[in-house]
Amino acid sequence: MIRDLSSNILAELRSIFRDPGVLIIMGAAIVFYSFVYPLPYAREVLNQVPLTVIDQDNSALSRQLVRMVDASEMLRVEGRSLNLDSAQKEIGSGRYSAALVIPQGFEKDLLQGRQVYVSAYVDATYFLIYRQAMTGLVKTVRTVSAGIQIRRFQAQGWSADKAMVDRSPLNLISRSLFNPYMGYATYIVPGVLILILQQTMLIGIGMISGTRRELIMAGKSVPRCRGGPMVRIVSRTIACLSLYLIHILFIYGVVYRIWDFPMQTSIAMISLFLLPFLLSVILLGQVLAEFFKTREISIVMIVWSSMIAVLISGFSWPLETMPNWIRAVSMLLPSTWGISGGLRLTQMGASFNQVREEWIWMWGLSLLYLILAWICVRFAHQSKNGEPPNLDKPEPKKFF
Amino acid sequence: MSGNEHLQGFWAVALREMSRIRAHSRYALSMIVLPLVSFALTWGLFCNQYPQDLPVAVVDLDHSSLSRTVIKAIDATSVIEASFQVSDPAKARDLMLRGRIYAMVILPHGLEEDILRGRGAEVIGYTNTQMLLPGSIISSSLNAAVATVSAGINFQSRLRHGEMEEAAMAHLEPVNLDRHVLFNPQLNYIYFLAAALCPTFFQIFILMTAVMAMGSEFKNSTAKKWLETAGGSVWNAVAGKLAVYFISFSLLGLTMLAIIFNGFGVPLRGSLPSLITATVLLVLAYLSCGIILVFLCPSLRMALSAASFFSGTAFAFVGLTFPQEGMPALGKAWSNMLPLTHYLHLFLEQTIRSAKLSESIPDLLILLLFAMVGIGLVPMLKSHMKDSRYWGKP
Repeated sequence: MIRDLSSNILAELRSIFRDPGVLIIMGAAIVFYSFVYPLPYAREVLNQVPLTVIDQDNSALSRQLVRMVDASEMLRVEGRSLNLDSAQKEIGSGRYSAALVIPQGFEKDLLQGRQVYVSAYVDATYFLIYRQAMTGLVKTVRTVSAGIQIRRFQAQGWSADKAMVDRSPLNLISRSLFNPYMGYATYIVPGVLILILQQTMLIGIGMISGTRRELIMAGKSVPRCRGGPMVRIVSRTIACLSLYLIHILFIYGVVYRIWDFPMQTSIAMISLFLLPFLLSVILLGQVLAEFFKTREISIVMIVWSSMIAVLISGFSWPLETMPNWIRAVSMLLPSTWGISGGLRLTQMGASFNQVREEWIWMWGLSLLYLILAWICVRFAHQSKNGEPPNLDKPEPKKFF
Repeated sequence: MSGNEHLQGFWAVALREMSRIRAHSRYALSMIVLPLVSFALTWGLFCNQYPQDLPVAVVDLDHSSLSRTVIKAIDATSVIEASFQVSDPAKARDLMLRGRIYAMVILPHGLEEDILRGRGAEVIGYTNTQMLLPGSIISSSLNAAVATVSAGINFQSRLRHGEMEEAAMAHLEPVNLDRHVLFNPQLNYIYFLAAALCPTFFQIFILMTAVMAMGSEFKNSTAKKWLETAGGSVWNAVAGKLAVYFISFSLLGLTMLAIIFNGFGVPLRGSLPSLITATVLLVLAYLSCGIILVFLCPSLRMALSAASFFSGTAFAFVGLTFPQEGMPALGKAWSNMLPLTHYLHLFLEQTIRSAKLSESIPDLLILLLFAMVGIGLVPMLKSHMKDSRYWGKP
């Protein structure tokens, strides 16, 4: 049995490395996607949103406000507009994303201790643009306003401290834990990298099985597989696992450094955590390979399911907002657990104990898919002719 | 060749294609079943448009009536809920690292006393911004909750002190910001994102199906037969084959628009004809990308891998989540190479931004250009069809 196993493992590895199609998916694609996927988010944050100013006051104080807006990291004063109408048109055409209107009498009213209103018109089509522009404007106006108010309080003979307290007695100090610069790449890419491992593995296993089946049907020789269904399943699992452990080293050792993502755990720890993840993915791949008999449809299915998996694994949008039946589906995907625990280990610095629940779930999924794979292999081959299972036989029945 | 013969070749290929579609259930799957499942799933995912009652842990070290007011204010927001009350910050941090909560709020010891003595006090909120979008929503509701409590205190203290008029004047905020939200006054992003996911799924299926339909002729060495059915005309061969997919996907596209406007409730503020034109052009553009990929990649597997890269990563590059302005030059260039980018731009212009038809003409022309490139390649496909070196590649 050990001899069967080792000869099968070598045969599996040969079929991966000799098939350029499989090698592209299970090797080159991972390298390629690791560098292409983060590309749009490479700058992490959106800064310097273009803004236009309509300064109807044109006073020292209004110019100071404009200077402070321009100095804010989030905004850039890109131009001036004559009136609101033309500014709104220019926002509509996409030249600016926001407009700041400073009314006539701005300085005079302030000096006389009155309340003044400046207006912000912000394009809310895109969430990040709106958030940056509005936050930048609110912060700047608040700073200017607080400065003026404290001076007014002091004019009443109050101390600066009392003036601050009187402005707002109870304040929230808001701190960002993890991903403190609110980087978009740090938000999306670490999760997607784990997903890429899953999806390439599923396509790769589909391809290996598909190629084998097609070669047999064409009457060509294939590397012989020995032993019963369980030996075959285990040997394919070991072959794929050893290849993907190298990918884990590559992703956490190389890709993370190049893109400068936080890495709060050791490579050994994340490998240990992702071990049942890889196992469950490989076994799931072998179950799916029994259902999707042609390579074409398996690629379509997997591209489609990658989009779905990103949406339902809970790292881009909270699981709590999803209907229960979708949450149930997501619990059957290894990526849901792998991403959830993997992100907490690498990005948030959780201890292994804190991701143990996910780890156990993935072992459970591995067991489930091992049983399913075994049933599929046995059932699919025995139901036809009552012969002992033999994977080398052609497979005339196709589901898809 | 007379016009009649032309039509004959075209019809012969179209009929042959329909029987091919009937013979392989994978076509029905990628042309009808999976797209409709995707639209339904997107709907299921985003029908609760806004997150509700996301769990937050509160560490109340003050145990005063003020700290309880703050907790009540947090519960009163629709987005967050004080699901856990723990005795020390380390426990809250542990909950966060276990993935149970999205934020933790610390109400420090002496909170109420500081306020009563007029010293001012601070509540500390830690948000998990690893989840950027939920994180920023949570952080702003936390802010709102604390501001509400603060405003209440301020009001009470002034009532007590019976403020004089000039002091009251000084309390007015000197510079205020009047916020005007253009184009999306409810700031509802979820349903636009959800609506935009539908065309994203749609383009995956158009491209993959087109590549499958043409590439399998080479893989199964039936390309010559395909050309013969068309009476030797490569134009008839390609047109007859793709016409079937063009019609079927155009109908699917119209269904998609119906779902987006009637089901998701996205407002249609621009012109519907321009959206319909764009949807039809989007189908043409991706069929054309299919021609390009089949022409460039000798094996079906390579063509499909390229197609899955081109369509599967599109959503990251279209600039809907992370805008094009923030991308590096290479990312921006790739974004412009995707028909979907231009389609979604037009989609936003004609729905949310209520743009004039004339502003969407450039996008329509770009989509047309994508279609033209593929059509321009058709004559060159003929040599591939006749050359047996291109056949039988996996």
